[in-house]
Parts: sequence; structure tokens; C-alpha cells
Amino acid sequence: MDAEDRISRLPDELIGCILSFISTKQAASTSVLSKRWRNVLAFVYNLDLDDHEAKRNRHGGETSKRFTAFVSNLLNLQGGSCLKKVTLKSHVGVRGFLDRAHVQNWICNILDRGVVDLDLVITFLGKIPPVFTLNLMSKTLVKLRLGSRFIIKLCDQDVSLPMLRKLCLYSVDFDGDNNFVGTLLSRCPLLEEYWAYLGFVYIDKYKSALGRRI
Amino acid sequence: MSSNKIVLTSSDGESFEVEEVVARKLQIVGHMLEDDCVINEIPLQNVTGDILSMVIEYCKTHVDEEESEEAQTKLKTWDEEFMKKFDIKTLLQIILAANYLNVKGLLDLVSQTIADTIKDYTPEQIREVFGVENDYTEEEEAEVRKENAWAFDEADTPKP
Repeated sequence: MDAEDRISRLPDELIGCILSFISTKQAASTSVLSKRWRNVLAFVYNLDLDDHEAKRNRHGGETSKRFTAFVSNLLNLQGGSCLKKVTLKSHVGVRGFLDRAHVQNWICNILDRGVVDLDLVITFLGKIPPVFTLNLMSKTLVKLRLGSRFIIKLCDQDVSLPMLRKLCLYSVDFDGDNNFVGTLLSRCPLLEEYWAYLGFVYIDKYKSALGRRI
Repeated sequence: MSSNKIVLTSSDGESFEVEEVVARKLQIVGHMLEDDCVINEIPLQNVTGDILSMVIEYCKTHVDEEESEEAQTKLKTWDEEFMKKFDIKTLLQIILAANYLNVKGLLDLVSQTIADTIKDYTPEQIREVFGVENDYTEEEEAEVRKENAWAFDEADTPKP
């Protein structure tokens, strides 16, 4: 045991650095250690936010509510600080699962904060895949993975990912431009790895709902 | 590669003569050299000799960062063995030094090592191991648990 409690005396950014190497869930649990630790989560730059329990848990709705409250508070607490690696896995859908608008706000927040490595997995539970607006103008993104079963709409119809090296698109589709992928790839001059599975299993079901050609 | 030597002096007066390429791994030194290229002795106020010698050992090993997979694996193994030598008290001194001297690779390595220690513990165990005194009242602690309710969902809490 360290009788002098040296760890609590580290500067905020070093505690944030340490907590960036464990799961965000566990990092958040250190908030109960003492008053010193109450808001150190503000300085964590790697986030792994995953509500996978909501689906397998009988009380999924309750878990989703807690997850929503947690992520919204966290992003609010962090303000505009820089992020490095972010994983956001969430279930969007009907009755008790996450609300699309919340997830949309989180995505905007994350993309605005200089994220380098983003893994966005939205598992959609419902009939019509949700549309998410993404701002793919980033000078920092190196790795990007987007999945699964949602439609991407661009903020201002422009894309520029000058640092992107790895891109994985899994079961997503694009709103608008039919040659979107071609355009996207042409805006990633450093791309080394590209992997894609485009479209959805339930194409016919939502095609008519959106009233456009796939 | 320059064979110019630089002397680094710790807060307790210990001196280390190192090659310039090694000294430049400490970004604080790198910046000083850029400002004035004729310095050959640099005092480092916030780090003691025993900790500085460990930082230098790290920088010497990492001076040629080759990209080949074999070289990377070898360095990774060395990093792991290097970290095993230190107790938690020393690791907390190294993290402060790595931050002050601005050695990014070492900062990440030590953070990861301390994080690996923390990750198997419950908050109660962390308090015990690191000597963190709980200064919350019962009500305050309940409030914090409520605010972070998702983090305390049972399904994922680490097993003791």
C-alpha cells in the first residue's frame, strides 16, 4: 500500500492519461474513490462506449437510459478537449433503446474533437434504418470504421480525410450521391486499407419507405 | 547521426553524459537545442538522478525506432521487461518525469502499465492499494454512484 496516496496527487492530465488505457466503464467507476476523482473522466481521451448489455439484458430499456445519461454527461463534462481513440457501439431503435437524436449529437461531438481512430457501430433494431449526418472533413482521422445498418448523410456534401489510412464500411449506405464511395476514396490520398460491405440485407423493405433508388 | 555529447544534470546533482540523439528523445531537451545549438550541459530541475537514469535507459533503447515488425516486437518485449522492474511508487515517479521531460512513448508505456494494475481492481481495492482516502459522505458517494449509474451496472464489474 502507498501510504502517501501519490496517485491522487498526479496532475489531472496524467490521471486522464492512465484512465485512457482502461475501459471507460471502469474509468468512470473511479469517480467514487474520493472527491479528487469525481471529475477526472473529463481528461480521458480514449473512450469506449458500448451499450451491448442493453440488448441481452431483460431490463434493456433501463440500461439504455443509464447509458444515454452517462454518455451525454460525459461529453458535456469533457467540453471540446481532444479525443484520440473512440469506440461507440450502441443499439438504436424502438421501445426503450437509444434515441437516434442522442446518438447523432454524440457523433457530431466526437467528430469535432480531433479524433484519430473512430469505430462507430450502430446496431439498428427496427424496420427503417436511421440516417446519421456525418461531418467527414477531418485532418486527424487515421482509422475509421462505420457499421452496421445505417444511412450516412454528409454535413455539407464534402469529404476530406487527408490522414486516413484505414477505412472499413460495414453494412452502411449513403444518402444522395450514387458514386459516393468513389468520391470518398478519392478524398483519402493516404488510404492503405479499405474494406467494405455495402448495402443492407433488408433493402427491399426500406427502399420504398425512402422513395429513392438504391 | 551526430556523435555530439550532451550532459544532463538531475535535480540532486547527478550528471549523465549521453549522445545528442538520445538526449533529443527528451523533447524538453530537443526544444532547448533548437533554441540554442551550442548548449552541451542541461540542468533538469524536476527529476532526480535515479529516475532520470531510467528515462535515459528507455531513450537509449528507443533511439532507432525501426519500422520492421521484428524490431517492433523486440522493442515491445523489452518495454514489458523494463516495466516489470518497477514498483508502483517508482512508476508514479516515472510518469511525472516522462511528462516533464516530454517523452511521449514512455508516457504511454507507463500509463498503460499503471492502468493494467488498476484494471483488475474494484474501487475499494484501488483505495486500499494506492492509499486513497474516501472523503465522501455516504450521501455524496451515493450521489456519484447515481450520476455514473451505467458504470456500476453489475454485468461488467470486474471480479475480485
